[in-house]
Order: sequence, then structure tokens, then C-alpha cells
Amino acid sequence: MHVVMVGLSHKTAPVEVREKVAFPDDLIPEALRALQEIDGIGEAAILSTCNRTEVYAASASPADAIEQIKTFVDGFRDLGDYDLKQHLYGLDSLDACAHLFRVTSSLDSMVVGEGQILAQVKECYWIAQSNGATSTVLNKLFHEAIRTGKRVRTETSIGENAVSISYAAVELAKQVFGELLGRSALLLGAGEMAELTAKHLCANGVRNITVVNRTRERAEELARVIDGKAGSFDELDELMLNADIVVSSTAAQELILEKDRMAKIMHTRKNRPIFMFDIAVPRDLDPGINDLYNTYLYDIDDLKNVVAANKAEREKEAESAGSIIEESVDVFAQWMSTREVVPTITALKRKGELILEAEVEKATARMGDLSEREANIIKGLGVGIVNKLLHGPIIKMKEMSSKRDGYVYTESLRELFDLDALEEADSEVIAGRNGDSPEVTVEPTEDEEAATDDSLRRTT
Amino acid sequence: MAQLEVVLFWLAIAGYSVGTIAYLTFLAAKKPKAGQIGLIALVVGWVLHLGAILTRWIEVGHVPLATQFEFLSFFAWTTVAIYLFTEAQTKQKIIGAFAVPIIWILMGASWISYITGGAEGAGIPATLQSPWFVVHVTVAVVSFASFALAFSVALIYLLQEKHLKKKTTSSFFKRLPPLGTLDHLSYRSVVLGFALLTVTLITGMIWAQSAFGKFWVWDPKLTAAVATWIIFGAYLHARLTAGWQGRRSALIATIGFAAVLVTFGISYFTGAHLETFLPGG
Repeated sequence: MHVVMVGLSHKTAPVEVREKVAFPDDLIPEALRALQEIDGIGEAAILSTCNRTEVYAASASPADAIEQIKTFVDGFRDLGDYDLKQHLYGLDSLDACAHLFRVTSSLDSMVVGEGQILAQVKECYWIAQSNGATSTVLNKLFHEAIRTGKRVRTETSIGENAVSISYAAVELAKQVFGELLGRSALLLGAGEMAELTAKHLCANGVRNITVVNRTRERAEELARVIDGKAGSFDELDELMLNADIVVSSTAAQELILEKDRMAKIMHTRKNRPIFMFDIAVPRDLDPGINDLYNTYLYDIDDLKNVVAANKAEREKEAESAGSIIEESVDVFAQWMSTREVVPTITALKRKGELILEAEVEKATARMGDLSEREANIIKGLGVGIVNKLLHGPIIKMKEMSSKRDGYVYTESLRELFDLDALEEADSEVIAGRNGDSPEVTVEPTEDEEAATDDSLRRTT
Repeated sequence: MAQLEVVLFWLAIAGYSVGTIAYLTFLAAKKPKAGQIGLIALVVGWVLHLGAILTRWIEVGHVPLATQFEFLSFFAWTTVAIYLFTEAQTKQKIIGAFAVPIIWILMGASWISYITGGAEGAGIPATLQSPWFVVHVTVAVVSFASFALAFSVALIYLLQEKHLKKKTTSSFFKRLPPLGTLDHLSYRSVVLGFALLTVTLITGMIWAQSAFGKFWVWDPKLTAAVATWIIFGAYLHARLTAGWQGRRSALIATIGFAAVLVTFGISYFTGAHLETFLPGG
């Protein structure tokens, strides 16, 4: 059994393609059923976000499965003559596994380190599992992926550095005030940027936000959105006395606050710290204000520098996340190896037995009447040859099962001796129907189920 | 018995050394494990250190706060206690990267004091044995330890505030606690330290009065102690009236701790200061 994946992402397809290919939530169960009906595909899961659509599946013949899934994705949504396959990539085995781990850790995201994707992968797994589309292999794969995603978030600081101007401002304010709960803010100007920053501040517990704008209507409008109040420029000095955070973004061509005036305000404030963000161009606030005691002033360029540094920082963290992913791929590869070894050995022995029985029967039939002793000798000869022949490969396979690429051996062996066909024939005989191969129906272990409960909560 | 004390003392130093390295590692690299190791090493070192102090107590037969070595050792031990309390309360492990090295240095100084003659316990003249003496010295140590913590926190404040003013983009500073937290913590430690220093001076005077018949002499140590008291008094005054919270406060706390060390260092060269009270001293 191999893991395979087929998909497209912001790296391979433009948004107008991605939005057409994306699976809406209500179509996913249907798509999962259709996928499982494809010959050779046992398990399936669909990850569909605005930046990527990816299908994960478990299959015994990866190359065929990838082609079939590509055709499936291409055909599922009606795109006319458009050749979707040029955007699709397909990966198998450990490459597919490593890809999912990278995706879950947000290393493949448009904004490296964003936190949404982990929740989206959980959701994708939840849907697949509750529709009965996953079994042992994908269960293990997704548990490992979610575990890896969590590890990367906690053990690296990949998600910690703000990569947008407005969020960088919030982070900076936190470096002065700590938690922003109950702090107050003053917005000068009510543009889009001011609104975004105000919403971030709000989300971080800032209460008591006053909006001052050239047109009062707009100020009141924004104040309603963020549950604040509107003020006017005439009362600027008083408003400044009570604000901890100031965000200025007016369209004024001149400075609206000079250093001297701010110095007086700081004196009246008894030097209580204040953080000011001037995101206007041309600037609203006198740059000299930053020299005042307990006053911090960042203009748009300062914030851009912070964001650029944070992005670089995330790239660096992404590298250390790489080694966590390597570890997880190892864990999964080993699990795959050991999982495949026992059934393969059983199948191999069974194959030997079948040949033995057939050949001994053939030989004894041709020799006519044989004493019990003679018959035993012939049978013993056959058993000896079969056992000696299989002994080496079986020992070797057990050894290799603990190695990362161990299951390549197992798979080769299955291929060379045609063991999959044998197992299928056997299970047909046993179950009297065309069922899944035995190991696929194995119930998840207790441990896995516990992990499932934990990771199943639907987060949005 | 002395053997046991030395062993415990060395083990405590070993614990603090591991703690120092672990906390610095925690600061430099984002390794939560290093922080945990640091805390464990510190707690283990602290318990062993307590063992060393108690062993000495039994050996010399009185509270072991009479010699420079005993005093320094207790100073280090109390600073660990105050730091551990602060970490438990604020969860700001980063402070450990600044406070624990100071503890380590105090331990080193204590050790030097030990090998340069501090091994001998001081026999305190019967006239000096008074409950006031014990209170005086114990409170002094706790006061100094509070100032030591205020100092390490002030150092972090100065680093963080410089970063924010200069707008440097190093991600290192994100690991430091916010200015508000640091300022508050430093302030709180100074208030405690100042209150206890006041008690130290008062109990010292009462004790001197009962033991020597005079409550004050202007020896260098007492002068330095008064200077320290004035510096921290000015800290509180400027903060409360002139809005000197923030960088200026942090600077005064730093200078104040230097004054604490001077107060301390003086008797390092002149011997325990109680002799100056004695006739001819």
C-alpha cells in the first residue's frame, strides 16, 4: 500500500483556476465516494482551501492511481476544454507523505507560518473519516501530519512574527504594554488601514477606541463597527491624554502633531507610555516625537522594516521545521514498513505452501502407489526447498522493516511474487466477495483512536 | 562536619552553574527544555545550599551571618529564593537569564571569601548576641536580594526599551518581557527592598544602641548604606511625583544596585563593620 497525492496549489495554478477546482464542503462526501470507487484506491481524503486542492489516497499501484486521480479531478468540475492537468502535480509514497507534512506545517502556504492550514487539514481529515473514506494508512498519515503541524508551531517560532503591517503594529504595542486587554486607542483618520489595525486591536482586547476623522460621518461609521466612539480634532490634546495606542492615517498634507505639543501632552500624562503608529504618507506625526520620554513612534517605513525582518525570520524558522518534518517522515516510513512486513511474510509463506501442495500432488500422482514413507520423503523434499529458498528473503525483510526505505523491499517482494493477487484471491475465497485486502480493514488501535478524538474537534 | 558543608556548598555551586548555562541557553535559543532544566538545577542547588547553610549553623552554634562568607552565601541563597518566587508568579523565565548569572557571581564571591579565611566561623562576643542582630542582618540580606532582582529586571528593561526606540529588527527582543511588566516588577522589587532597607537601618540602630550605647557611627559602610537608601528613596520619589517610570527608573535601580555592592564591598576590605562600634574601632 502506498500513499499518493494529486493536487494543485497557489504555486502551480492561478486563482481563477483554483477557485473553479476547489471542492465545496457539500460536494466532498460525494467526491470521496467516487474516488473510492476507482479501481485500486482504498482510502481517500480531500483537502480543499482557497490556496490549494489536494487529493490524498492509499493505493497499491501508485503510478496508476495518480493518473486516475488526475483524470478524476479534471473531470469532477466542468471546466470545458481547459487542460487542468498542466497545473496538477502528483506524488507518491514518502514524497506524498512529506508534502502533506509540509502543507500542514504551513511551509507550503502563501504566507509561511499562517495558522489556518492546520485547522483546515484537521477538517479535511474529519470529513474524510466521518464519511468512512479513511482507514489504517490515511488515519496514520493524518495523525502524523497533525502532530507534525502542532510540533512545528510549538517548537519553532514560525507563526510568531507578524507579517502584515497592522498585525506588526499590534505586536509592537504588546512589547510595551504586555497584554492589551483594557487598553485604550485613538484613531486619527478612518481609512481602510486604520480600520484593519483597529480590528486587530479590538481582537486583542483593546477597549475604548476613539475615532477622529475629517468627516464626522465616517468617524461615526467606523466607531460603530469597532464599538468605539467618535471624536473631533479640536479635542485632540484631551484625547491623547487617555490613549495608550495612537494610529494616525489621515490624508493631511501637513504634520498634525508637532513634537513640542506632544511634549506638553506627555508632561500632562505624567510620562505614561504611549505607542504611536503613523501609517500616513505624507506623515502626520512629527518624527521627533520618538525622542520624547516613554513615547514610541513608528512610521510606515519602520513597520515595513519590521515586517520584512519577520518574513526573513519565518523563512529561517521554516528551515528548522524541515528537520521536524524529516523526523515525522521517518516515523511514518517505519510504521509503513513494519505494517507491511507481517502480511507480506504470511503471503509469501502461503505462496510457498500453494506451490508445494500443487507440485507434490502432481509428482505423487504421476508416481502411482507410494508407501507413506516415500510420500513423506517427497513432501519433505518440497518443504525443504521452499523453506530454504524463502528463509533468506524473510530474514532480510524483517531486518529491513526498521529502516526508512524498508518498505521498498516489501513492495518489491509483493510485486515480484505477485502477492497482492494472491491475497485478493484468498480473501475472495474466505469472504466470498470482492473485499478489501485484509490489512486495510484492521481497526485503528486504541492509541490512534484517542488521538483522533483530540484532533477531531472541528476548528474553523 | 566542615567536610559536609564544603561538599554541599560545591554541589550548590554546581547546581547554580548548570542553571546559569541552561537559562542563558534558553535566552539564546528558543529551547523550552533548557528553561525547564535551568529551573530544576536552580531548585536542586537551592536546597543543597540550604543544607550547607544549616550545616554551618549547627557547626558554629549561632545564625551563620557573622562573617563575610556567611553573609554572601546567604545573600546568594535569598536571591535564588526571590527569583524562584518571581518566576513562579510571573512565568517570565527570561528574567532568569539575567538574574541567575548574578546569583552565580555572588556564589563565586562567596567561595573566594571562604578560601581567603572565611572558613573560620566568627565568635560573636556575648554583648553582641541579640535578637536585633539576627533581624538586622537577615532583613538586610532580603533587602539586598530584592535590589538584585530589581537590577536584573531593570537591565532587561533598558535593553528592550533601547530596541524599541532604535527600531532594531532583531527577533531576540520579542523574547524579552514587555516594558510594562518589567517596569512594574522592578518597581515592586525596589519598594520591597527599600522598605526592608529602612527596617535594616532601624534595627541596626536599636541593636547598636543596646550593644555599644551609641546608635550610629559614620563608618564607610554605614555611610554607603545611607547613600543606598537615599538613591532608592529618590527612585520612589521621582517615580511617584515626576512620572519617572520607565528608563530613568531602570537607570536609578541599576545605580542603586551598584551602591548595594559598594556597601557590601566596603566591609570586604575593612572587615565586619561591627568593630567600628567598639572602643578604638
